[in-house]
Parts: sequence; C-alpha cells; structure tokens
Amino acid sequence: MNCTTVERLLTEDLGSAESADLSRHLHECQHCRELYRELKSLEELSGELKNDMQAPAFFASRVCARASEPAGPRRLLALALLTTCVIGFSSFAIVKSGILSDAAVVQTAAPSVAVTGSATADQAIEPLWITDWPVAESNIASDRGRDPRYVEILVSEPSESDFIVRLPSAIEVGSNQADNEYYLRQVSH
Amino acid sequence: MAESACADAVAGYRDNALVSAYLEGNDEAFRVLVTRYQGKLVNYINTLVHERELAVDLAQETFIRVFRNADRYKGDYQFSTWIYRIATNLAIDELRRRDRTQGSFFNRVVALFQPDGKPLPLPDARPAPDSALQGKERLRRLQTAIDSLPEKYRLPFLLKEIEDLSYDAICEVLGISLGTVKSRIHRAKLLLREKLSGVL
Repeated sequence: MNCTTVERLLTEDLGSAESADLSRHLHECQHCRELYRELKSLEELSGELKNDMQAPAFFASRVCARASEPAGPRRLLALALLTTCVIGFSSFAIVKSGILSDAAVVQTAAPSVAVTGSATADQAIEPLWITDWPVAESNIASDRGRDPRYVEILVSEPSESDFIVRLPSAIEVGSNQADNEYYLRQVSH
Repeated sequence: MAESACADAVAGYRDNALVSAYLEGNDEAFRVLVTRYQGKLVNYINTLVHERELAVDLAQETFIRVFRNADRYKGDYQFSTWIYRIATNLAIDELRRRDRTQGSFFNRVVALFQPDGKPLPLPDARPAPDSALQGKERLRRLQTAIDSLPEKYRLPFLLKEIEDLSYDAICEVLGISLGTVKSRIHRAKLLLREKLSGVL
C-alpha cells in the first residue's frame, strides 16, 4: 500500500485506518501518520459546526400557515390588492364628481396590472392618453417627472373650479366609454 | 386536540410515509416533516450564507417548495436528498446574486465606509494569541477556510462532513457521479488541511 492510496482512503473514510494494511502503513510512515492526525482534527472541528443553530420558535407554524395560502406570487397579490383599493377610491371620487358621464377614457404608458383580469402585465398597450374627455391632453401631468406610480389629470369643468384627479398609473381602461364605465364600476365595488 | 392527535399518529412515520400521508390529506404530516428537518436545514443554509435571518427565510422557502411540489416526489430517493437539493439551489442562487451585487467596484468601495462616511477600521492583522486559537477562533478559521473553497469542493464537503449525508445522497443532491463526489471531497480536505496549517 503506497502513500497515494492511503491518502485517498483516509479522505474517503477515516475509519479505514483501522484496517490491518492501512494501520501497518501508518505505523511505518510518519507523513501519512501526520495526515491522519490532521484529518482527524479537521473532522472533529467540523463536527462543532453541526447543529450550531436552531430554527426560530414557531417556525413550523409559520411555514404551515404560508403553505396553506393560495399559490401565486405573494407580492403581485399584495400589489393587486393595494392597486384595487387605490383605484376604487379614485373611481369613487370620479363618479362622485360626475366625470364618469363625460367618459373617463384614460390610458397611461405603464402596462396594466391584471387587477380586473381583463389585461395582463405582459400585454403591450399603446399609450392612448385621453379621448372624449373634457380636458386637453396637455393637462395630463403624469410621466413628466412626477411620481411614476400615478397619473394626475387636471380637470376643467365649466361650472366648477379646476381640480386634479390623481389615478394610479396601473389603471387599465380602454378607448371605449362603455368599457370604462364597466371598469370603473368594477373597481369601485 | 384533533390536530395534536393527528400529529402524534404520524410522528413515528418515515419521511416517505409522511409525504404519502400529506398527499392523502393529512396536513399534520407536513408539519411533522418541517419539524423534523427545520433545525438541520436552517443550520445547513446558514453555513452557506452566514446570515441567520436569510437562512431562516430560505429554509422556509425550501419547505414551501416541497409542499407545493409534493406530488412530484416519487420516493425513489430519500426525502432528505430532495429538500437538501432545493435548499442548496436556493442558497447558491442567493450567493451568486450577492456576488453580482456586492462584486461591483462601486459596492466594494462603499463597503469600505461606515454609514457616517468614516472608513471602516482595518482588520487586525496581528497573530492571535495562542489561547484565542482555542474554541471560537478555531471555528472561525475553519469557517473562513471552508468559505474560501471553490463552490464545487465546498458543497460536497459540507454535505458530507456537516450534514452527514451519504455519498449516494450527495450524488443525488448535487447531480454528479459518485467518483466526482469522492474526488471533490478528497480535494476539499487536502485544501482545508493546507489552509488550516497550524490550527489542526
């Protein structure tokens, strides 16, 4: 048995040192004896890294609770819920101010989050901005250095003072008035 | 009470039987599996990422993936092999992502400064006194040496020496042959022996 074989056997399993052949070699070879001693020390030291850390309290309960949640990206779900709430509030403000009757046709450059299920994030939607709206396109304040999460629209009504409607940029509406009314009814519910 | 009784009923089951019980509708079987492996998994991931909170998060994610893909588990290899494979992949992805974000010149320069803009104190390069080489210091040196190993040597070494997985299980976890596993562990130990000269 030569030193190369002994080295391979010892790194594979230190217990092999108990075999008669290997034991005899270790007795005669100082180089391999030193290797055995250091590998033994490495094994013992490595053993101290075992189970050094425990899982936190209630770990299993947290995992089981999370596992029972519906599948799907949690962040997207949270974002969709948040967006729905914001759109609902904005829509309520629009309906309340009577703008819906003038056809709230708004389209932002940002692709829509699929809040209503009628569009998905990977659908490319051409910016449409505003049609059939009683304000000029120049009144759209979004995408001009403002918070990209929102589109702000300056609304001028002949009978009232000008005011700004702030909508989430994820709002998804079409070019058809009936669609938009349906959409706004959906999100406001 | 009923849940506890369910858990008690399956507590002695083998892993494969627990997976089967879970697939048949016994949710407590999954809890038993989590409880059985949570400590080992958190510890294993922590030896790779060295961040307790992250290790806990990744362990949690490992179990969630196991839960959601339980029906794909065929039982032709050990359950522990499967969860170690998922955990290893998650941890390696995290380490590579960290390398990409921390490896840039800008981030390395930023890392030299404290939040208040003052430079970080330089590490103490003086040799540690003999007494400090005992206990935690030796462990720290071992951990540093393990971390410095190339990934292909580090993973099989950790799975064998820290996690006590069999050679066959390591083959399954890492998707490499038995001969390759043995030769990488062999190489890892010889490299560690060099790096820990004076400590072993």
